[in-house]
Amino acid sequence: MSIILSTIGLMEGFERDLLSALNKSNGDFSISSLMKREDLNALADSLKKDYPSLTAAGFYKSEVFLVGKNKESKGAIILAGDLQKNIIPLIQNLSSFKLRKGQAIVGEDLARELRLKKGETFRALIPEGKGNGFVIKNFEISELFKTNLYEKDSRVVLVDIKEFFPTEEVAFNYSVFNFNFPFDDFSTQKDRIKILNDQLYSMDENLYALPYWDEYSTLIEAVEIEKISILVILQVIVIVSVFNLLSFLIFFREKKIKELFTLHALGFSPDKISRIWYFVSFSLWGGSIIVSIILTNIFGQLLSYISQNLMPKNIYHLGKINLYISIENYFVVYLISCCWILLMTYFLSRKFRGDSLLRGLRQQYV
Amino acid sequence: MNEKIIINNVSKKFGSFHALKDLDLEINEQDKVAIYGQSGSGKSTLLYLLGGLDKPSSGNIYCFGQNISTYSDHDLAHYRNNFVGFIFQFHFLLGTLSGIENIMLPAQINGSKNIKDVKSYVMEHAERLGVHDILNKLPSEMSGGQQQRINILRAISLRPKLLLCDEPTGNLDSENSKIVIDLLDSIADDTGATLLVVTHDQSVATRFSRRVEILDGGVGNQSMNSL
Repeated sequence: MSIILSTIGLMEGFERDLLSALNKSNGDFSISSLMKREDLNALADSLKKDYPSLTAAGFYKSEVFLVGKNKESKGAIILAGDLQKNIIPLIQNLSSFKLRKGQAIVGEDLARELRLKKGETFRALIPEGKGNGFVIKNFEISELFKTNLYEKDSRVVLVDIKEFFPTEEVAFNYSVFNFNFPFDDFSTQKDRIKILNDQLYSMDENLYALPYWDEYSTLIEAVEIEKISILVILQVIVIVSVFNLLSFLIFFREKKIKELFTLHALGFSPDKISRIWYFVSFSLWGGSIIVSIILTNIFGQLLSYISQNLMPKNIYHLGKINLYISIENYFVVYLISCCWILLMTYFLSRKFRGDSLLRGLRQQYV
Repeated sequence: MNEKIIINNVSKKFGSFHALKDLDLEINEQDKVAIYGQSGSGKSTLLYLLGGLDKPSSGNIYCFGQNISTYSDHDLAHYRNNFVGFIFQFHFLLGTLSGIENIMLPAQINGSKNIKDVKSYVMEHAERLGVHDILNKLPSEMSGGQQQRINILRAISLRPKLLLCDEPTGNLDSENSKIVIDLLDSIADDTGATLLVVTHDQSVATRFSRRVEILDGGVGNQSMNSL
């Protein structure tokens, strides 16, 4: 049970952590059309009719080349937004943070790769576009962020929009929106985005909302399929466990059969003997549940440590994977194991009832 | 309630082998009956049927006014516990329990009897049987004769109406056989139980007021004598 729960928990945990990290760093959906500030406000106001709690933030997004300490360099993505006002919804834990000119917020992993710390400066080579070469700007790291998503933490730099557009005339090429709903079921979210895209299409054919998971949709799909495959493979463990349990019950039966036949001969009714079987089986089941919870928790702690300290983040994308096992998962696993135990106990109990008392006594004593 | 035991046209088959064939027999209340016969004649089978350890293939067995041949396994278990004291040839004592724990098993199973009363009754008889000082020993620490007495104490612990003994002297010499038969006889007198003893030993059978021979699955000779 522990292996099954841990495997389910690992898969669910990976998917959930990935979705959650993506949602926290991407908002609920983004639109990559070029928009002026008033266009973005108008679009947001229009959508607010259907989604009153919707918030929107416009960004200018560009690829940059960063140079840090000891000429450590890396390609990154710079996102310039109204960071003097807010940076919602990109990095939730920095929502009240305000940025001054010449300052930047950098992902923790990116800072580490550039060998930089908070308060230190790096250079950014920003392409001017249309083959006009690069503009070189210096930024001081005012804050580090961690989304737990390696691609974000190792590639994103946030600066204020005024670094690119000194006046109020801005051109956002990447707008991020947040419904501000509680984080709900993935299929509900998929449906919501589908409905939204129909709405956007009716407003403007060029508007298309990319859901927050879009950049990892293939991986998420793969995880979904992998979950099913692993659940099928886990059936081998179920079969092995069933045989283990069956052999234990048969062993117990052989060990105690003498007592059972004697008690039966002295007037212990078959119903009471069945009750003993069920008591033993359910005690075993209860004990297994406790052990499985303990082992699963130990595995969860180990996974947390391993994923944080030993796991290659660029491969697994997430900085940390937590075990996530829902009440339903526990319920299903324990219910199925209960059914198996009931089935085996029923057959063993029936077998005892079918055995002749006399033959049993003679076999055991003579 | 009719306290007679009536065995009416009873047959018992094991596969194609007829252990009992259309057997008819009546036993009165408080009778002391020796059932004897050759090995394989069906005498033990008859005892097991009367004790509710097995069911007849056909026919009826009336014990204390009830047709036990129609009983379910559950009812038979209740019957064995409440009405029958069975003294098994091989004792059937649980090796992990002490003598007194083995003796008290029927009372523990019964649940409705006062354990203290049963225990004091057992202790009284234990003293009489000379096993009061070995009650806390395990069966493996007892001699065959001692185990037999523990077996007897267990059988009489709930004061059964029917005391069934399967070859109680099978493993004993003639002197000990006499002691055991005297003991069973006096216990039956004390408890008012009907006593049926299966034996292949004619000398043991002659010690009973009524003797029934089982021959090829049916009743052979029957004789009565006053002892």
